[in-house]
Amino acid sequence: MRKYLLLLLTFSTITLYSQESIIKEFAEPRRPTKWMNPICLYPSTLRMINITQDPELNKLVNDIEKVLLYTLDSATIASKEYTGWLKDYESIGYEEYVTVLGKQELRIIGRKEEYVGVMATPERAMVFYLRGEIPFGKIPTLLQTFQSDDVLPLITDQFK
Amino acid sequence: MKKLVFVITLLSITSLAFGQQVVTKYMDKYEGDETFTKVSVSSKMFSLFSEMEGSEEDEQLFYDITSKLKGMKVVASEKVSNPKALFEGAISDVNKAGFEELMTVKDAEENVKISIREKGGVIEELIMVAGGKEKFAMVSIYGEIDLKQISKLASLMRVNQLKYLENLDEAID
Repeated sequence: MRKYLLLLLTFSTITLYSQESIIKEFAEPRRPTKWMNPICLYPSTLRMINITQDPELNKLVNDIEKVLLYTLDSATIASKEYTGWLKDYESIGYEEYVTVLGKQELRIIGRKEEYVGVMATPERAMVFYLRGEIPFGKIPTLLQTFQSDDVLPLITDQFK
Repeated sequence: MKKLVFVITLLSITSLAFGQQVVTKYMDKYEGDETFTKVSVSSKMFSLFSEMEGSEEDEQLFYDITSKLKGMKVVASEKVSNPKALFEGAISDVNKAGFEELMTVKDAEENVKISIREKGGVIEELIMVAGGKEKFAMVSIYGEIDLKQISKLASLMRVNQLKYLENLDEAID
């Protein structure tokens, strides 16, 4: 029995790792500076960036297991080539949840309790991987929090 | 028997995809044009565009309606160079795709045409095309559509282009 549990655990870990690896392969070489690490957030750290201590936001992040967040370099933003990697997720069953294209760009695709996507303006672009329970419609609210002028410098300025 | 099920499934998929192709064609055409806003949203994400400050009853109704829908696509621009030609071209494309006209609204500001595609007594897709002096919008809602509920859905969503659908229930009575 223990052997099966171990096998199941190993398999789950490999599966989760492989799903994160697609975004990592895309975003790692496109970081703004080579020492700027991706932002990896868990419920406790998600609550820390809730500067205004909005109770709704705290409630929203309660069941999130992990958020992996990359800001992209200016060359990638200028080329607008920041969505091709989503096709690799679509090929393993992720489906489109929302796409908004215009002056700003938002794409979210997902499967069960895993979501990946892009949020971009002409000045900045972020890609993310999110695992955990969150109401679908609230994902952009959460992403907006990361992009707000209060929160973003907290995440990125330390790497300048 | 298996072959029959396969053929029916294939036909259903083809038919659904064919309808959405009208809007998808416009989304592809203006993909790189930032003056056009393109939105594609699955029913799971409809709440993103909703006014959920309403009553619990509204909230329940919203989920009841959206659970039968598959998604929505919008192509819109506030400033197009030749809105009349674009509007007429879109209407022609909608007609060619087998949609039947449901409602037309004409005033000094805008022309709006709402069309549906029905199959086996079920409305599978609703397309609204709107053209103004400078504006253009095309909205497709697809899935299993109840026209009376679409009016309610339109009033619960913060999508400007859906305002013409808010009175649809009165128009079809």
